[in-house]
Amino acid sequence: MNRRLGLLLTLATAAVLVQQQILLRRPPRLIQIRPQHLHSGSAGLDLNFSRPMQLKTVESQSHLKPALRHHWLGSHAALRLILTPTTAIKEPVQLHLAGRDQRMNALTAQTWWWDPRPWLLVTRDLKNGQQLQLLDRQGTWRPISPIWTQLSAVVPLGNGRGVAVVASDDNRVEQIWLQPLQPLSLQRDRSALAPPERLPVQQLINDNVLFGHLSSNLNGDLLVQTGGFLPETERNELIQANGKRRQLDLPSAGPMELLPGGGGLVVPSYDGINLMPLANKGGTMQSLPGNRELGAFCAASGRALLIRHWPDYRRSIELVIPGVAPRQLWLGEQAVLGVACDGKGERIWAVIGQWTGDWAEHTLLLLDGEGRVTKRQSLGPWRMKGGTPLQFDPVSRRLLFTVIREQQREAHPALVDAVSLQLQEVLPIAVEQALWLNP
Amino acid sequence: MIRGTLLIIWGWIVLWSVISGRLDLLLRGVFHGLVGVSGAALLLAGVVLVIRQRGRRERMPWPWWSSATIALLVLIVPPNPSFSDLAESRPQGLPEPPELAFVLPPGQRTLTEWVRLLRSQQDPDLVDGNPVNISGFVWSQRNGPPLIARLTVRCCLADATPAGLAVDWPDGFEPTTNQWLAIQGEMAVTMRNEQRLAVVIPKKITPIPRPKRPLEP
Repeated sequence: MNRRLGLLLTLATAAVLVQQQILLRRPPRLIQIRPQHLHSGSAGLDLNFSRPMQLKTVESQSHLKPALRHHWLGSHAALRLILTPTTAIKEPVQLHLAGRDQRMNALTAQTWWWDPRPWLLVTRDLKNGQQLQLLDRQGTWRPISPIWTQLSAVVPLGNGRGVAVVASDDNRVEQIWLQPLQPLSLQRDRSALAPPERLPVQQLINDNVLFGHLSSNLNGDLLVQTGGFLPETERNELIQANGKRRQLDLPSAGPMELLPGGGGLVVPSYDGINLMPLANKGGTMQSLPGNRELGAFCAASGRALLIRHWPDYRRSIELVIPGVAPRQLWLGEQAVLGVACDGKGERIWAVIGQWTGDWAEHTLLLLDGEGRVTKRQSLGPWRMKGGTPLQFDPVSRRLLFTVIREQQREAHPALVDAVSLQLQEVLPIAVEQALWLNP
Repeated sequence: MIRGTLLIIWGWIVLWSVISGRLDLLLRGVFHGLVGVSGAALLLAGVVLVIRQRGRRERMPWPWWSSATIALLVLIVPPNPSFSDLAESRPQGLPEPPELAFVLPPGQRTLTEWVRLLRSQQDPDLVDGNPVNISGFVWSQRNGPPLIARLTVRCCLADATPAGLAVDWPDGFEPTTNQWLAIQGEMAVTMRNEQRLAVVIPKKITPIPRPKRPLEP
């Protein structure tokens, strides 16, 4: 009995030692690679390895083609690649990945193809309704959703894995849908890079609603704000990127917006706007009084642009940094149709409009973080369509918005160089609005 | 009789540690009530034992002597732990960051919230220029300049985990190990060991006494 026990223990010890030696010599593996939209550069990738890596070796042995300026961040097994090029990225990036773990075992070298450029998404007007379509790299418009009678709101998920819409029919009854997408912007082969694949459409709220408002953050969470046909049927539901649903009991006086970085949301009230955490642990709500509305978030830096409406009908654009009084960047009598900012809130774009006879003349402004107008460009003969957004893409360094020409009813997507403010292209299709969809 | 007296002494030490605040150096506040009840139970057991064994003579073996000596030393000598030494010997993994940390204005974040944020969102450029208002002790490093740090605990000092932030100490300022400091300044990004790192640039450094409750949850 004792001999058998001894033998068993010896075998078990030997097995453990063999396993330990195998694990010690086993090369590190790449477990996950995915685009990261929360970053300080033009584009980011998150890489998770099977064991802690030596950042210096990954940095020195990996390289990009074209050789874009970049840096590696992180520690242990989770690393992040941030692209910080000085010019616009106009083609897919080849990443040759290599490096060593902290025991100096080499990672099997591998090549990835990554297209960090966002997709141009439009709500296209068709004869029988409206449809989501995106522009592929060859210049062809691809339908990515069914046709609905009308789309009153379109919100791409921040992680690029779908587009949520508020669709209404002829009876003005609204429904909330999600068109899920499978991004294909990061592949082992260049030939596999493609626009996101369309998955079966899902109805997010089973009942018809009187109104719906949607908001998404860069993690891909979606806030669905709905109101029914009966009093006190307003509901705020957070649908997290992992599919979990949570009811939020938050009083608001208007549409709420999720913070891009996650964790909180901006809630309008009757006397200002409030910043609230999603996890209500003791209530640390921060309020900003005054007749203000949220203009745009400056990516993930926590900064945002506000549009303030003054009692004498003037408007101002303010840069808000959490915990600091808002900084007024611009004040004028013109209407502010749209604002956008770069990641750090150092460059701000605004479209302002003034009526001249029966036509509003719109001007695009580029301001710095102190509010100095560094460039100004008239949009004539075009003007920005009201109620549509102005969006900045740090990868292609372009602005996207929807424009209308004088004496025409059709709206078109317009692309503007974010540095020179020169109109690059007005796409010849009739759309309701145009947006960027993260890759 | 002697056994009862020893129990009374230890019960009193436990109770007194709760009352005097000494326990704040060892255990999170939420558990203090439990320790207090244990002290009271020891005290009560001691009193019962003393009453039962009144008049009896007992021999006092050496472990009892040493226990009594330790009890008296605990009472007489105030604790003065080196958080820096403890931090050096502890693992670095902090629990998952609470969602709240992302929403708090930078100037209101505690040192632990800053460390959690930077570990979960390892892109220092995102916090470049943010105001910082933190306090902690000076944590000496074997390789490199000292950090400003706090110890976080789930329960007690046994599971303490250090959370440290790099500081660009101003010329002429010599941080003393274990010294408690309040720092006002801003975050900046710097290269250290060929790696981009978020570093506190102090504008004002004030030496402060050790907080009453130095351990953070």
